[in-house]
Amino acid sequence: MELPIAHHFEEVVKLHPQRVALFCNGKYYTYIELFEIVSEIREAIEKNLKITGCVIAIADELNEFTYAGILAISLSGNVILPFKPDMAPERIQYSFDKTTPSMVLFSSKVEDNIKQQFDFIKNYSQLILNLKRQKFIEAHSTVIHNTSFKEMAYILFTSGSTGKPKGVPVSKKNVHDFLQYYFDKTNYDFTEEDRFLQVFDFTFDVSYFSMFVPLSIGASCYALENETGRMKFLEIIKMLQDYKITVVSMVPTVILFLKNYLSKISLPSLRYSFFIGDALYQDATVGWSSVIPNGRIDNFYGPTEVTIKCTRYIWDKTQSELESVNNIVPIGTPFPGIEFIIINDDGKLVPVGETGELCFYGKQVVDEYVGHEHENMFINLLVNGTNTRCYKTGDMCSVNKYGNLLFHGRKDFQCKINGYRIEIPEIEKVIYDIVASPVTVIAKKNEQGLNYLVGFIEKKIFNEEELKKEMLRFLPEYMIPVKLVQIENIPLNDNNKVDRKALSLLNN
Amino acid sequence: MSSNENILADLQSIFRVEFSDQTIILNESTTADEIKMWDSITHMGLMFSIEQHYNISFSLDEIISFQSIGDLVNTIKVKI
Repeated sequence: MELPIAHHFEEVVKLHPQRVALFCNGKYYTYIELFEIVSEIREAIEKNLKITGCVIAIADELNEFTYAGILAISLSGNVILPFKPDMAPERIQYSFDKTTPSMVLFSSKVEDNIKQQFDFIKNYSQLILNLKRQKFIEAHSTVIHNTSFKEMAYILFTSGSTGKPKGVPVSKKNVHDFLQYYFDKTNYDFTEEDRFLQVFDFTFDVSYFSMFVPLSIGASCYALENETGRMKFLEIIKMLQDYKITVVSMVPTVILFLKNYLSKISLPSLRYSFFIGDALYQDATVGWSSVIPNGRIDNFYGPTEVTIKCTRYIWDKTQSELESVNNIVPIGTPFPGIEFIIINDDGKLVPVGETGELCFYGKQVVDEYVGHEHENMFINLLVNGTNTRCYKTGDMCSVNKYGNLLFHGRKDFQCKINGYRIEIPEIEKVIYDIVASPVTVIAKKNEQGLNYLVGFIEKKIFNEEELKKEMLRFLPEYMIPVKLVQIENIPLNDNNKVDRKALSLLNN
Repeated sequence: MSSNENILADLQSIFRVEFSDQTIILNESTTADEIKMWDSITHMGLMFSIEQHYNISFSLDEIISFQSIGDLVNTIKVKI
């Protein structure tokens, strides 16, 4: 199956060659200009790979090479495996080991850095992009031809509860079904005049929405500058304002941190403000709605395993006030073709209105994880008399009297930091492997309602800065606790389980 | 009008409170890159504290465009 972006993008190039396709790092690229870059990369891929359906790893540099490379991989019928050049080498190597990419794509801008940081990369064939002068280095005499993921569009590795990341292979059909929701004019009236802001990196699946949708309909994709670093949220607001962006998907954190400054912002051009990745708070949304007088706010929900976004709630100030629980805005109802059930700990359906674990089946739900691992995340249930394989989200939800799903928090110890899903056991395992002493990591909320992590380590005396540095070898920065505290004994509750609540109070 | 030194001293106190770090030393060339906790989230809290301290108001463009402590000092100077 061909990814719809391939067909649509080529059509749009013919129809609107001179329209702006991409704005990236201060430069505009028309559809024909972007197509030319894509074609060069695609040609190089095809010349060296000779077959389709292979996994191609691509360094997420957030520059024109990345955007063109992602398109080239899709158009050439191969599978995208994105990785961030600043990610822990062990994490990248793990994803390579699990998927055996046939080729690694990166630009000459990061060549030295990548070769220095990731020694294992020498085992893979590399396509180093320096437009008009592509270099292809064959580290092996033959390119690995692994087509076991040939039906996939991309593979993302998310935080895993067993201490290892989970590889989520998302098929072309999954992405096709997802995109249909946005191409349906009864859902959205996007036109080629729309300007979409793309703020995520390609290891976060919402980026594929922010890039694939505009480039499929002849609209423009505005990419957040790649050098924004720690001031990313401010740059998002600046771009929304300066480039009169009309469609944006953001994590709710962005509006939380702006709460004292909303009166100074006005974004009359913004038509659609989409939120995803974390709980959306009603009070913050009321403030945000005053910033976008001509815009609509949609709250989405979507684990990577259910392809980017799978439920939607159209926010309305009065109605959402009635429906929000604990100040959290509902996540709405599933897209057509996706079904959900809510189960208790015994795997039985809970009565309507009661809280339990949210599970999905139907369109957009991935079949399995890479290597058939983490099978416990799926459950076979008898639904309407049919044995049905469902994906367990680990999110506790209920359905309210309006038929909308409400999010009540994570079932296990996952949490979100800046929109990234984090499974705390993964962090605990890394610390434990280093210090060899009992460890508990807890997620707390700061005054702005944002999550941050604190790690407690029993007895062991350690140097906090050195330990964090060591952890960075295995984990991305957002998974490093803000504070690591030495403690005599980790408190236990009556059931001899770690008393996280006591730890939370202790830290105060 | 306060001198640059006075404003710098005020800012240093505000930064030390905001980041709970008494070792922070600011000069006009200090940038966010040099202060570990200074990111876009803490930046907004900082701006709010500075506005309250001087009873002034920054525009969003100003908040976004501050590149260094020197920029901040110069903007505060014309507002107080």
